[in-house]
Amino acid sequence: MQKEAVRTDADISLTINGERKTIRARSLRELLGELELEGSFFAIAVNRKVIARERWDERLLRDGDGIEIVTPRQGG
Amino acid sequence: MLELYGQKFSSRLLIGTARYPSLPVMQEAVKVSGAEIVTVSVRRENAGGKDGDTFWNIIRELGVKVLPNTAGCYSVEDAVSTAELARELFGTKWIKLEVIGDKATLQPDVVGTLEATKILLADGFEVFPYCTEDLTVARRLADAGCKVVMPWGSQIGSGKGIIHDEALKRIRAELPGVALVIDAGLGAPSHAAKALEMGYDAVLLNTAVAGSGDPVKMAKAFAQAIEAGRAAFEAGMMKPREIAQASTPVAGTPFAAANAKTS
Repeated sequence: MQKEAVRTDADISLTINGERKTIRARSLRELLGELELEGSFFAIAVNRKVIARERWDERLLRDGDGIEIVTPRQGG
Repeated sequence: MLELYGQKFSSRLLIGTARYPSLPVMQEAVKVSGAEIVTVSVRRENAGGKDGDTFWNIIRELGVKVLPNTAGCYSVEDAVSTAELARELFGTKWIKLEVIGDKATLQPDVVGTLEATKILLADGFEVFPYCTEDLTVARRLADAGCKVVMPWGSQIGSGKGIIHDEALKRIRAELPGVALVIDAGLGAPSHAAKALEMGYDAVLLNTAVAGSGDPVKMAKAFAQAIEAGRAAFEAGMMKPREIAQASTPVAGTPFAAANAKTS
């Protein structure tokens, strides 16, 4: 049985927009800062669950999480 | 007025925002088209984060309503997840649902579309499903609760226009209570006029304008064609005949023989 990942100060491994990355950030808001994403309009899903902007400080990241960060784009 | 999920619109043109030569051209084309609804997408941010801002600011300046799409989704799971992200990003319940079944034709996977529609409707979305000319699927989408159904004219971006006339006429006849929008494959303004003449409530197009020689001029052409098509539908077009019927009265034709038939 997999032990639940315990959050320490160590780096964690996340898949962000399809790419594996090693990350220090603890929350989604910190993650945006670490990735140097400067825009204002993002939506984020963690393991396919959309996390509302109001929860970006409280939702802590766990090793192995899959993150999608999306912005508005052209479409037909 | 066009009514979509209880909201009323003057324009019967829904226009896409992709594939224009530039954002300023896109902006001008949308303005000139008179469209009140534009389609948009959600895409991964991989490059610093400003492109989304730039695009979104232009859309907000246009003052139009957005209809986010699930373009590029080949599974029910991906389409539903994308719709949820779009709802969060754009703050709208509207979703143009695309569950694609084939990479070459980009045709809808109608089974997946129906499944995803039911999931999204149950979650409070107002679904605009992109489907084929199949009557049974269109009916099932309406029965599931869709107030709008969007059968294709032909393959996305093909410019072929409406290629399944009889099937689309059947859908119109069988689903009088649903707003029907022909979406995909339109190329010429005459295609859009035809859609409206057939009684369809609106058209959705992108490449026909963005991929034309002059998108701003073409946007205006489409607006005019859609207005003409709708007026023709409301006026009631003459029924086609197999043989001729003279428009000019025969009686009093000069040089006619004394005992000539006058019918």
